[in-house]
Amino acid sequence: MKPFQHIYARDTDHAIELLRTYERRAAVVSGGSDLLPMMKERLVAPEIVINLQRISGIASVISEEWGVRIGCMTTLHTLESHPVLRDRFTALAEAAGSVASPQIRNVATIGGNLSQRSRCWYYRGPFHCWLKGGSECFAVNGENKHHAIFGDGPCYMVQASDIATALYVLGGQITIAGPRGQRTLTAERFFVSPTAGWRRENALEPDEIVTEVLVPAPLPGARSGFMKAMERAAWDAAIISIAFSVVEDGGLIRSIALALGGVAATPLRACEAELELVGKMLSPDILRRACETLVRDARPMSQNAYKLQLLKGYMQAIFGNHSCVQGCATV
Amino acid sequence: MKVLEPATKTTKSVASMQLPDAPEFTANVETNINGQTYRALVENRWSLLEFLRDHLGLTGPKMGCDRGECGACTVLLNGTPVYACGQLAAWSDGQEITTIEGLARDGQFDVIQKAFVKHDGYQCGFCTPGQILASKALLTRNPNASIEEIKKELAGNLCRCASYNRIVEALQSVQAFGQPMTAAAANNSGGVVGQALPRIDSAERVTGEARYSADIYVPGMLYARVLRSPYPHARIKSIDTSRAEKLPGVRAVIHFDNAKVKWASGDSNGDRFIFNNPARYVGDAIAAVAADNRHIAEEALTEIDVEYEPLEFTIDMEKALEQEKVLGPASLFSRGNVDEGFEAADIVFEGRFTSAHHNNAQLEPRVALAMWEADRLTVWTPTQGVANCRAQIAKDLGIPVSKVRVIVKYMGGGFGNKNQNHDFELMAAVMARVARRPVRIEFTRKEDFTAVHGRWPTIQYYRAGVKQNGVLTALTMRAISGMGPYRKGSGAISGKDLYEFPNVRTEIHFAATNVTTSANYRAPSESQGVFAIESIIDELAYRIQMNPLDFRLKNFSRDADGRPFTSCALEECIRNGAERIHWRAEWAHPKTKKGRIRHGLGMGIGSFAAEAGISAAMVRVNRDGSVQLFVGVTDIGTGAKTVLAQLAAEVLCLGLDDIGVVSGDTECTPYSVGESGSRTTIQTGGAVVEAARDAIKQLSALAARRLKIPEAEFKTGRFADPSDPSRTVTFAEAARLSPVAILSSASSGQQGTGPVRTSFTAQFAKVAVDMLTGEVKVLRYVAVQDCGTILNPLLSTSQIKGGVLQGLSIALHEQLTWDRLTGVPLNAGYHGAKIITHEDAPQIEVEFIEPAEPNGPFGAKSVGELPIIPTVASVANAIYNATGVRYYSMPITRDQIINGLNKASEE
Repeated sequence: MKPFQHIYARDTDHAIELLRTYERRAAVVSGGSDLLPMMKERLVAPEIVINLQRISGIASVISEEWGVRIGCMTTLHTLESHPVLRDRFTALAEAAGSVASPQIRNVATIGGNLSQRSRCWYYRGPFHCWLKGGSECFAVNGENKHHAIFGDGPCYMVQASDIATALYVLGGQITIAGPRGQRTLTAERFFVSPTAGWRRENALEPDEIVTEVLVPAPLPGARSGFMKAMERAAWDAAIISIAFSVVEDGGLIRSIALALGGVAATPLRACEAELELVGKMLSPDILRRACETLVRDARPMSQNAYKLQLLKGYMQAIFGNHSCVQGCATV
Repeated sequence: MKVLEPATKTTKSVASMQLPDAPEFTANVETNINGQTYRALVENRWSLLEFLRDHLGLTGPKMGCDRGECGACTVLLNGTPVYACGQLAAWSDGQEITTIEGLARDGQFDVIQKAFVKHDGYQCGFCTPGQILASKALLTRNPNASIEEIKKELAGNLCRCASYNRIVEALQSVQAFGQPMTAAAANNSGGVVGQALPRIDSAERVTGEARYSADIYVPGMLYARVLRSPYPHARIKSIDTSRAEKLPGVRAVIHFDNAKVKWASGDSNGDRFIFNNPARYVGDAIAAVAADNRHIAEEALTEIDVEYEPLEFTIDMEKALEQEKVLGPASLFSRGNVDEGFEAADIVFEGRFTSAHHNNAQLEPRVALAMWEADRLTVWTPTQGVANCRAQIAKDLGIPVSKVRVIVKYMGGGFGNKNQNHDFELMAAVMARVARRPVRIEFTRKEDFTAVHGRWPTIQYYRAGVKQNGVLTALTMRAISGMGPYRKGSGAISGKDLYEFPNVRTEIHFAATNVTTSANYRAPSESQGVFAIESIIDELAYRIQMNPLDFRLKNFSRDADGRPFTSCALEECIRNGAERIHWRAEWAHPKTKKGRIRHGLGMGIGSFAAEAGISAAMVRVNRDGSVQLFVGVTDIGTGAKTVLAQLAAEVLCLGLDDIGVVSGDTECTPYSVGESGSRTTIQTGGAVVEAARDAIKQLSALAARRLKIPEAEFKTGRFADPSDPSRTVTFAEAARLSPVAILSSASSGQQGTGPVRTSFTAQFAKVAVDMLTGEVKVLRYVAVQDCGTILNPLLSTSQIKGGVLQGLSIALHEQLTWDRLTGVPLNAGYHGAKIITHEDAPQIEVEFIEPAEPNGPFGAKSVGELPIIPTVASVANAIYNATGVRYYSMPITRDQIINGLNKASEE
């Protein structure tokens, strides 16, 4: 790494003031599990590193009557083990617990996880790819088995944050603070597909930080969860993932939210598949139709068509495990 | 050698970059480490890991990858496991840190350390400090953790030797008894050989005291890094290193023009230098810089201007062959008449198998420290053979062997990629000469994956014929091995000799490709060849509707291509394993399988004949009766030091603790061919036995003189008068009778003719395949071996478990992927390679059948490479049995499985 200045922010206002002062010469570090490797690889070389680790009051999960308020510096370990999250916001706890390894979860934060840069191997490699400002996405004619099956580019990355996918089905909102003030966005607005005018994975301006995540209380009777397909049993990015939140009553789906991860530049709400299921009694046919709808608009690249089958398979697996639809999962 | 003479340094101008110790780039920290307070001024860019290691002398935490992808640097931060490489040194201010060095209290090992020793929780020991600390945190927080919880909490600590089973056993014993279970008491009457004894250097390994090559610091040491080609094939038109040389702290810059040193062992065609022009793969070395610290060295690399002329390149093996880009003539073999053989066949199978390049991925990355004293060179480097390394360094540098010393006391694995000498050792030596200071050269993990070597990828086309009654008739194989741009490995593909094919024809081509070099990785020609052969055998069995177990029992080779085996219990291994996994009761044809989760049984066999080679050993009996054993081995994790000490102890009638082993130093240890080819126990072990016997002879003569008899008898540790056994001289008394220490030495080697000393394995896998998600779980795995006499069942079992688990990893996950348009490796590193974690590792059930083996030492045969040979095939065959889909490419990754299941359901 190049030498850099390191400043502990006293509070979030101070952090933002520093960001404004140093403009693009600074980077914010929360847990460091993404920033430090990127600096070692020389993908970024901030002259000033602004450290949030000594700010008090932003690393906890607070229950409110409307839901939970999660400080940006809350570690993934806290998220995965917190009794309220495990019990009522299960998708979030499970997503957090599926990230990387225990040592990383001990230091990685929700703010950092949501803000992480693309993990595409072209982006992380010595390629001046489209996302970095170049003219070409190298995955298109290159090695793309890990890349997007939805969307038309120009960037074919997949959003690496598992927590993002969970927030989509929990109605999570993300508060951003910066020199121009504070704003709260739904997860769907926080994550964006990179465009020519905005070559970034999320709505953060370079001088903004995530300060809080707000998750409203789930509907009564809702159960949520997160299933992640990985190559090895642990410590891996999602090949695909599915987050779900469902209210079910004796086999009748009263409400359902589904989000897909690992398949597009942002998590995707599977709205049409949800429409196939909501208000229906779950049956093998209904489930099968929903699975087909799930992948209907997919546009796989040369090496990643298998992700379609994985999405369908995991959908079947999720709803096949459902106590009242045992045996619905067909092969 | 043509090397730049030490340059006279002119006054340097201050570089445009601010000096790194300017106050704004540093921080004051006060930290509590292992109960002691440290105050230091640290650079902001130092990681906690380098702060602990390089500046505080705490070398217990290891640098495995420096990217938070392996766990070797795990420390406890306020009791919580974190990666020290992922923490900045500055963040340690006000914190409490525990490293492995802080675990033992008042000279007493922590109970977890004791458990690791007793249960053999490591092989090379490099990941061990991290494993122990993570375990400590786990059991402190959750003393009753279930086995699933243990595996989940330790998933962030990789172990390439794959001692996963052992680590879990160690922790379970701590949970069950509060203390590690005591090992079976040594059988005093039965001697030392055959006992399950802990490794003799276990204390060093569980305390972080073991000094690996990167733990050696000498005064004035410089740090060096290598600049590498960004192109897969390019001519270097010019190199301008002037800006790099001007950087404050840079002491030497070498490159193709000023350091033309041959690296003979890097290419059997003699075509390789430490820097090459043209560069022939992305990662080929272009220049190297030695500087006061590694950050300056890294910075200096970016100040080197290289003008490249990109050239045409090929990364595809078949294209390379079409273009006649080969590294030597094809290897041809034939026996009998294959055309007649296929005529006689009722069923003919045709298929194409492929195997990917994967890296040895040992936890200890490349490092070498070179130091000159006058015209004598010392190199600390983790090499699997100090003697060969030394001889080759001497030859490449053009200096006498006597002027070179190579030392390695502990090394963190190699699995075949630390044999012979390496280019970076030569680079370090040259830079040390130029700078007139010791130079340590370090590789990043990415460099370790791309700039050394891995297993050669293959494309194998087969035809195989069988009669309906189960007799094999013919086999042809036409294959390509991708060797990279240099011929460093043989490229051979083994497997056909496992079965009785009367008519055979094989043809292997060695493609030159512009990617990472291919060379040895544990059973280098076997794992990928046997994957194909055992899949074919399996397939033939199904096609003639014979149970695959019976088909194998009928057809496995009863000899080594006409030559008998010295001993062979393969049939017993097969039957034993089949019974353990309930093959007869549970095996069913794939078409009977239903449901979402389908179980399958698969098997495979393997054999390994140790390579020839000569090794020597020396025994010194000191005048007080203490004994030292001098051997040239380096113990890459196999436990060689321990086994060799056991052999000496057995012959000398002493306890294992009475033997001090001196290893891995060419200054005083005799020649060993090196730990490769699974021959250390046989070659060096044979020499140890002979040397020990000779020591006994010398002592016996002294005892006889004392007893005033012509000849004394050595029985139960004493020298006795045969006619009056009550008159004895003890071992120590006999030693004292000599005016100087007793020295004895011996060498031993394997002849090339006669019966072949071969080890055998039969492996059985039971898998569960999820037909919806394509997930494969190994439910049970049984490995039964014939390795002759097992000298230490504790260690040998660990080796088998480790080899099998490595086999599972390469079966299902590992492949290095290059971008086809640029030749750039895309996933070099532990995360990209998907090495298996604790959570992936099932319990491997190991059994040994010990037939009478006439050759020594004590009837031992090879162990090391055997277990990884049929593992991929066993899993592939089990997947076929579960799903009815056969996979022809290794690794069998999730996308492959899904695509295969899809295709099958469409048909």
